[in-house]
Formats: sequence, C-alpha cells, structure tokens
Amino acid sequence: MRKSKKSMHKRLFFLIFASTLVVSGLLIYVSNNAQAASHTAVSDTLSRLQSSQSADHTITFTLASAWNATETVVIDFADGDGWDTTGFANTEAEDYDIKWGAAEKTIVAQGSCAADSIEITTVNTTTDTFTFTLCSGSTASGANEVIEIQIGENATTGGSGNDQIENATGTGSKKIIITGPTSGDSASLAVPIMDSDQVTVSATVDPTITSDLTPGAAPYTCSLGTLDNGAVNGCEITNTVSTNAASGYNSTIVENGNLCSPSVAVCTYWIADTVGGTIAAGEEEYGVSTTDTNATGITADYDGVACGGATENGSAITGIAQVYADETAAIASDATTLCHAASITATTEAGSYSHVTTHITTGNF
Amino acid sequence: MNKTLSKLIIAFIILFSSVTGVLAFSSNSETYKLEGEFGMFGGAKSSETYKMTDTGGGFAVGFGSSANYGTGSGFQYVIAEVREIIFTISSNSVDLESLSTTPKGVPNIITVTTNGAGGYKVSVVEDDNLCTSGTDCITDVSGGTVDPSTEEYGLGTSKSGQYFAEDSDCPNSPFNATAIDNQVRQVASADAPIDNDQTTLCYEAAITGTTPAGSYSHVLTYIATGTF
Repeated sequence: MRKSKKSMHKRLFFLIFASTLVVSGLLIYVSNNAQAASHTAVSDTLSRLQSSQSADHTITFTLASAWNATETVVIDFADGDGWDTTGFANTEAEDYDIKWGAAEKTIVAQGSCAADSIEITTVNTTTDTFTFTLCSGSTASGANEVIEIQIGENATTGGSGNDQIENATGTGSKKIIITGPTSGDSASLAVPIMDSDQVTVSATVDPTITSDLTPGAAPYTCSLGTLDNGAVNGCEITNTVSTNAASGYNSTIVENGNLCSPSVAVCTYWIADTVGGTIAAGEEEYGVSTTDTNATGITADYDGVACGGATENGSAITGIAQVYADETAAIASDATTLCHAASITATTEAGSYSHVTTHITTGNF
Repeated sequence: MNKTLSKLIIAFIILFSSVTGVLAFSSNSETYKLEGEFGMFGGAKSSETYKMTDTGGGFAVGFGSSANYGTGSGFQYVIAEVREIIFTISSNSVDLESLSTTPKGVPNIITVTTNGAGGYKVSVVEDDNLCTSGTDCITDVSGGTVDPSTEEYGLGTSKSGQYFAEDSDCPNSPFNATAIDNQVRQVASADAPIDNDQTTLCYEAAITGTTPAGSYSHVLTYIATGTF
C-alpha cells in the first residue's frame, strides 16, 4: 500500500513535469513561428494637423495579402489621444471613399451589402474605430494592392462627405492602427499633431506719391508771350504723378487772382476769363485746357499738340481749386499737360499781365 | 519511465538552448537611475520566408511623446522602431515687413523627425493670395525668380526635387521662388527615416512703384505625412 502510494506520487510528478514541458514547448514554438504580416508604405495625410482641429484623412497602404470577400479592415485611432469621431456613423456612406486601382468602390451602409461593395460595418465613436467589410461575392483585391481610404469631407464618391474627425487633443506623434483584412495582417502609422500647423505671412507696402511740374525748374513759369488779336497764344505746363494709392489721385489748379496788369495785388486791367469753352482769336479770353479728357473741374480738353493757334479749348481758372487730372487706381508717371491760352481784342489795355496758379495733387489711399 | 524522463529533460534543454537569454541591468548615480529588467525570452529568428525578433517578460514598455519628441520603451520598441513623426515650424508668423522694388527673402525653418521607412513629405497650401483686406493682391511669381521692380511673391525651399524652386541661400540673391496656390504642393521630403531634418523655406517678394499701398497677408497650412 505504501509502495503503491509512492508510485502514484512519482506518476503524478511525471505527468506534471511532462505537461509543463509540452506547454512550454508549444509556447516557444508559437513565439518562434508567428506569421503575422505587415502592410507597407502606410501613411495618413490629414488636411489639418493642429490639435483638436477637424480634418480629413487619406489613408494609404500596400496590402500584405489580398483583401478577400467577407474580410474586414479596421482603422483604429489610438484610445487616450483624444480623437473625436462624433458625427460619423455606419449609415452615412458619403463620408467614406475606398479604392484600389483606379476604380472607387461602392460604399454602403451597414446591412446593405452587395457584391463588389464595401460595407461600413461599424463605427465606434467611443473607441474611434472604423470597420469596413468587403461584401460577400465581391472580387478580391490583388495581393499587393495599394488601398486608399478617405474619411471626411474629402470623400466625394456617392455623395459629398459632411463630417470630419477632430484631431487628437494633445500634440506630438499620434498612432493609428490598421488591422486586417487578412487575419494577422496589420500596420501602424503615426501623424504629427501640432499646436499650430499654419503660418501667417504678412507684408506692408508703404504709401508713396510724387508730383513734378515741367518744363524747367522751380519757380516754374508759363509765358504766353505778346498777346495778339489775330491769334491765340498758348504755353504748356505738365504735371507728372506717380502713386501707389489704391484709389489713385487727383490734381487741382487754383489762381491767386485774374491774369492782371500790372499785378494781381494791383489789378488795374485783366484779361477776361473765357466762357463757352473756346478761346477764339480776336476775342479777349483767357483759360486753360487739359489732356485729361475726363477731368471734372477743367473740362476743356487739350489735344496735346500746338497749344494755341486760331482757337483753343479753354476753361476759366478761378479762385476755387478745380480738378484737371485724376485717376482711380495706382499709376506710374501719369503725365497731364495743361495748355494756358489767351487772345485779346484791339482794345485790350497794354500792360504786363500775370498771375500765379497753384497745383495740388492728392493721393487717395 | 526513467528513460522517457531523461529524453524529456534532454528535449527541454535543447528547446530552451535555442532561445537567447535577456540580460538584466541596473545603474544609478546622484543624477540618474536606470531600471533593469529580467526578460523571460527574446532573440532574433528567421527562415527563408521571415525574420523576426521577440522579447517577453519586459515591463514598462510603451510609447510616449510630447510636441518635440517621441520615445519607445522596451527592447521591441527599440528594435522595431515604433511609428513616430514629429513636425515643427520655427515660427507661425512670417513678416516680410516693408516691401520695395528690391527683392527680399525671409527664412522660416521646418523640421521633421520620423522613423517612417519611406521617409516623409511636407506640403503647403494657401487660403488665398497675399492680399489686403480689399481687393489688392501681390502678383504670384512667374518665371522662377522674384525680380527687381517687378511685383512678385513666392516661396523657395532649400530642398531639391520639390514642387517649389530650390533656393539654398535665403535671404540672398538669387530669389528663386514658385507661386503658392490653393493646391497642396510639396515643399520638403525625405525617402528614408531621418532625424531633425531641417528645410529652410524662403518667402520672397518685390513690388513696383504702383503696387497699391496697404497691409497684405495670407495664411499657409503645412501638412506633414510620414510613410511607414
């Protein structure tokens, strides 16, 4: 009886020892022979990388083995990183595009599987996991096909996507895991979530404007010469303006008094201001015309040649500033020529006539 | 039974002798302390159709990161290279200041660290042209360079082979640049894992005497993608 008990203990020890060896061997065998494969060329291009910012995703990877009918691909945004997939559902096929090769696959809601379609099997907005199933009866992908999965507003096939995934709340390298379609196949990738993914570029263009009268040098003069009742005498003065004022500029002319003799201060005689828009030989008239044909103050147009002659267009110069040149946009070297013109009658008093005109150019920035 | 037991013991010894042992370590000083571990098994295995390494029994393995670093703990993280990509922009504001007829360039540096086997690419897209709040905009550069007395604005990159013109001497002449538009365009890349890979982006502009005065701005969005 005692011998039998001892033998039983030996057998029990042997069985436990042998079982331990077998289990350990199996574990080691498994650890040395795991055959899981990884997808390659795995990436996810986001439309925005800023933390907590809504973004579209374009996930691509080269399959380790074919995607066969009824097999699933799971996209898992790592828990704890603060991804927010609220708004996505397995009933909203418009938010997803999936393709391999050139052709986009037909995406269908859960429960609507048909051959050669991909079903949105589940969307778990708690674990931020998307599961896609190649429907039964579908043609399998190639063994090393490049899969592209778009999630968000960048999905356009079968309707425009109207949801986006809100990025992880923290910054740094964030992990996304892909499992399937073949059992054991998987891949992981990372995306760089940032505190700011944008750069604001700014520049300033300072306001500038120049105005220069020609010909000659300051103080500028415009001599009408000896007036004659048989002709219209004239002289030119040109104002050249450059400005980057967005709304352009205007130039005005104003006189200190009439064209007087012996002076404006002691104006014994003066040449009458023109009326009617034209200065004709033999009539006592004085005025000015401008090459800016749409000027609002000095409306008499000057053709830019032969200031004077038998007749000349003219508007009266007054003590009120009148616009003789204007532009509505920035402009460079914009030259406007004024033609001062006068004629007299046989009874116009002899004398030396003069007055001073002032040019004012204003930019409209 | 004794013979059977002997055979099993021999088989056990042979079986475990194929497994490389994992050495533990520990070290410390006044300023640091390293924790060691005792792995149960680990090593490299291969055949004609696969290669793999494994460890078992380690503790505190995992991945951690902040805005400027990523780290993996544990033998397999070191060996297998946990997926990681870090992207930084040196400044989120680039001021070209007062423009003139003489071209100018302002540098800004982007930096990428990734262990992606296929490297990375960085792309940029604008929200609109460089404009005032009204309708005035600086003309996009054409012809590959920002030229004197010409209203032009564009972007150059120190990296070759990108969509944007290569400019390796920002902010000096020549001002090689390409127009930025509303399409996502590649500005930097690498085709292998890389550490602290810096790219100098050069924002370049010049104006004419008639470029409307005003304050111009636009917003660029940068997108970095690792390929693993």
